[in-house]
Amino acid sequence: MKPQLNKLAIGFGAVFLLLFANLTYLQVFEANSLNNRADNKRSLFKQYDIDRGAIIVSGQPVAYSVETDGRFKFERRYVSPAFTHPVGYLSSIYGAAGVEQAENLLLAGTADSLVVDRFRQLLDGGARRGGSVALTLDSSAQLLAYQLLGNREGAVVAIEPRSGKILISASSPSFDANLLATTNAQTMQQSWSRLIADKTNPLLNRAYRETWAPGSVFKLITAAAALESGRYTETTKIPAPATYKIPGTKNTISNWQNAPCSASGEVTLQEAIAVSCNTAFARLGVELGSKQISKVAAAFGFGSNFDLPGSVVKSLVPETTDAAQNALIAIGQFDVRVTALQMALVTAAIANEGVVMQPKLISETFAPDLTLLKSLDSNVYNRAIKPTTAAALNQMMQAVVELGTGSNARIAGVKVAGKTGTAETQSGAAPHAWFVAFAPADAPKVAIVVMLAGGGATDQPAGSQISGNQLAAPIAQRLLVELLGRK
Amino acid sequence: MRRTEQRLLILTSLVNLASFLIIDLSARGYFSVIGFVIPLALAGIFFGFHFILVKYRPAADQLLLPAAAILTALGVAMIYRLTGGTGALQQTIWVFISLIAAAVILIKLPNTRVLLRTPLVFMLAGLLLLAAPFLPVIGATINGATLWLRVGPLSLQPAEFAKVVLIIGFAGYLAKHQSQLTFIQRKILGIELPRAKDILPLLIVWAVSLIILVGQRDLGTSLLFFASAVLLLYITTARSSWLVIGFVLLILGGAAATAIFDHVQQRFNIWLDPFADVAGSGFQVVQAIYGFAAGGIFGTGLGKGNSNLVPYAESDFIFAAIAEELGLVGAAAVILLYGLVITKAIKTAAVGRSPGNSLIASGIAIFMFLQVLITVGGVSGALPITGLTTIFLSAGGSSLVASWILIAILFVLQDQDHALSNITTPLSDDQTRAIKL
Repeated sequence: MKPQLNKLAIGFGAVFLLLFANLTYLQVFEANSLNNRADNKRSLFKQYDIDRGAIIVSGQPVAYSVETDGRFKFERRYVSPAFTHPVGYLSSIYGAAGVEQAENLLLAGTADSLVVDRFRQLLDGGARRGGSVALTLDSSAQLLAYQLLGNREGAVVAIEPRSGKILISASSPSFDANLLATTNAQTMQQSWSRLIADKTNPLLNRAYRETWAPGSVFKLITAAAALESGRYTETTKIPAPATYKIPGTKNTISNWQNAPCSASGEVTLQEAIAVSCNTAFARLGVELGSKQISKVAAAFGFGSNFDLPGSVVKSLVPETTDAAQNALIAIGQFDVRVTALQMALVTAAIANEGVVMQPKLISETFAPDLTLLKSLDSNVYNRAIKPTTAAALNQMMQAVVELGTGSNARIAGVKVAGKTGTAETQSGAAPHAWFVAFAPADAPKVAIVVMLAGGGATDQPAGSQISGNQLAAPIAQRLLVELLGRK
Repeated sequence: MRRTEQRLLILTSLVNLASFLIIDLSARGYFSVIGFVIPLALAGIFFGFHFILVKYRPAADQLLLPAAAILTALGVAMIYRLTGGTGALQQTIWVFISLIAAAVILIKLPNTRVLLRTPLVFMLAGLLLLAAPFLPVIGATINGATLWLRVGPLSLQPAEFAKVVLIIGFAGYLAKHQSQLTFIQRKILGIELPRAKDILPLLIVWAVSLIILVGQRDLGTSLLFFASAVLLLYITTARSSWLVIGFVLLILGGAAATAIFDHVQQRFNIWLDPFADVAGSGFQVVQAIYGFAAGGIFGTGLGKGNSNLVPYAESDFIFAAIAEELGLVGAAAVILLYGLVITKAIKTAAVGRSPGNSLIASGIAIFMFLQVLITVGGVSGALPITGLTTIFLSAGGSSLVASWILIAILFVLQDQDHALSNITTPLSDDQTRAIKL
């Protein structure tokens, strides 16, 4: 029997070698790609073993890791739902969002820029530590914006015009990110099911992950297009009757209250902005055409995703040759859709002599030992409009606040430039209330957008500017005071 | 005085104690009483068995006990890590029962001749044990498989004991009919075929395997019995035609079962692409594969992995847990230890004084090899998943007791065959020492 037993032994040995080869394949060659698979919970659990870096706003951490006594070494904490949308969350089951996701490598300490620190930690033998990220946000203004939004659906975005720094990026409703970061899996799962079942959609970042009908705030872009075309100046007279019949169609566009925008039946472009004259702008739209309007819009950044944590949804102006649609586009209706952030960039560009700055949310990154890794520069995104056009629009927007529809944004001793908007979505539904502003108008430091989705009163006639001024402007005014007080 | 075994057992016990202390520290953060008690108890059990060997089977191999002991102790440590003190204590009690059963064989079984005398009785007993779970009252179905016997508080898997009995039955039968099975009737395509009536016993085993597969939904045991029978036939007759016939029957049976029965087909589909349904049918295998990947070369360290993500980590999937926490290095060590035990069994077969003795030892080697192959291959995705337990390591009593009985039979064979060749001179220590420490 010996020969057979010898062959058997050789065969067994060969099969064991194959088993060993398979294990080597799994544990050495394929290990990396298996570890990185999205459905691999082990890799997510590993994140709990890292002393993840903090996300800092105004010198204070808003997201940080604390040591625990439980099964996991560290647990992530978030200070306030006011910061949830820009900051995001890190969940072992549901992944990450916002800055937590965009800067994951740095926060987790695996970024290439941290290679020296990793080597040092290896020698120390301590837990892996991550780097930190400082945001451009203004902590108290952000908290105040969230508080002012209250339980209404909407967003506030404030930008420093010269640098593109985002000072406020608030979205309501929000949620407590701690619920998704907890190490208690059951709490996490229940919270997640509740969040995705919630009809108010608290997971949505309304500041730049969703577009809305802009209504009359879009008239700023129509006016810019008119000025840039060279065919109009701020003093060009435009007919402004109670009702404008769109040429070649049976359609008409009316002012609210069905009255002409002035006694003479004619307005200058500046007056048209100040009183938000629909018939004058509808005529402008037909004369300019949506091609010219969307060209200027694109110069402001429409159609761009920008480069922000969580990525910006594109704003959109449809191009059409239909006169009725052109008239509607000019007053920010039809299929014009914008993010609150995009409107803030337009406003900031007007304040910044026509130059759109690349929006930025992250100001600095730090190594685990808190030494500065990188300070992020301010970059020009695009020179959207001529300085003279910007100056003219600045004057028009000051008139809005001083003489026109934006009276609630006035601040004693400070010149404020603004524009109201009340955007119809569908008949019967409550309109979106908008207000965009910057101040001081003569030396702009802050540009701000307040948007209350479906926040306007339903009992007001179409095209009314009351909602923008009554609901959105006071919030903008309060936040401008807060931001300018310390600028 | 079996010094090598003694020293290796000391080493085994120290390694085991260390593993319990590491688990206590890394998973719990403090030392527990039970973390000392269990390793000490295990050391006591193994040393007790060592002294029985010294007294009753002095000529038996000295590496076999330490190899089986370190696997068994590692199993208890992993069960302690995965399920906690109660599970580990339970397994320790099973280790005690296993070694008592093995000791009884060492003391009471004079030689293997009694085992070889009545092969048909053993085979019949084996079949009865296989069928026992279908008996009323004591038979039980757990997790959809009818494999269990309930005796008071204990759940036993009679199939595990059927393995022992059937190995002996096969060996006896083959030893008796060796010449007849070697007889060649004709050659077809260069393959030497046995007589039709001699194929009949193999066909019976084949049929029984299929009944196990279909009736008890036990793919592993079915494969184990059939493949063992074929390999034993080959060893008995040295005719590779038996391997060919066996292979053909295996493919036929497997293909038919896959085509007809959903549960077999599902196993095969999971095997072909475990990632097709990560959250559903492929969950267990995929979690195990992630465990292997997480372990890497050196492992996460005892108590530091996430092996609990794998359902049944402490029983069917214990090898995946070991590979995760001890890495490729630990997994390779476990495979090498199995290799050592199997090599010892093959060596015992090679020096066997009678065909029957050799065939029993061969049967043990084949059974252990196939079980390691099917379980290790299964949890690492190389083979379809079966319900087989990983011998020596997995939580559960029946398999452990059966495996230790097989080890005891090996000791008996080694001792008696050695004794027969050295009737006059007692063995010196050096003669039975395989390696020098």
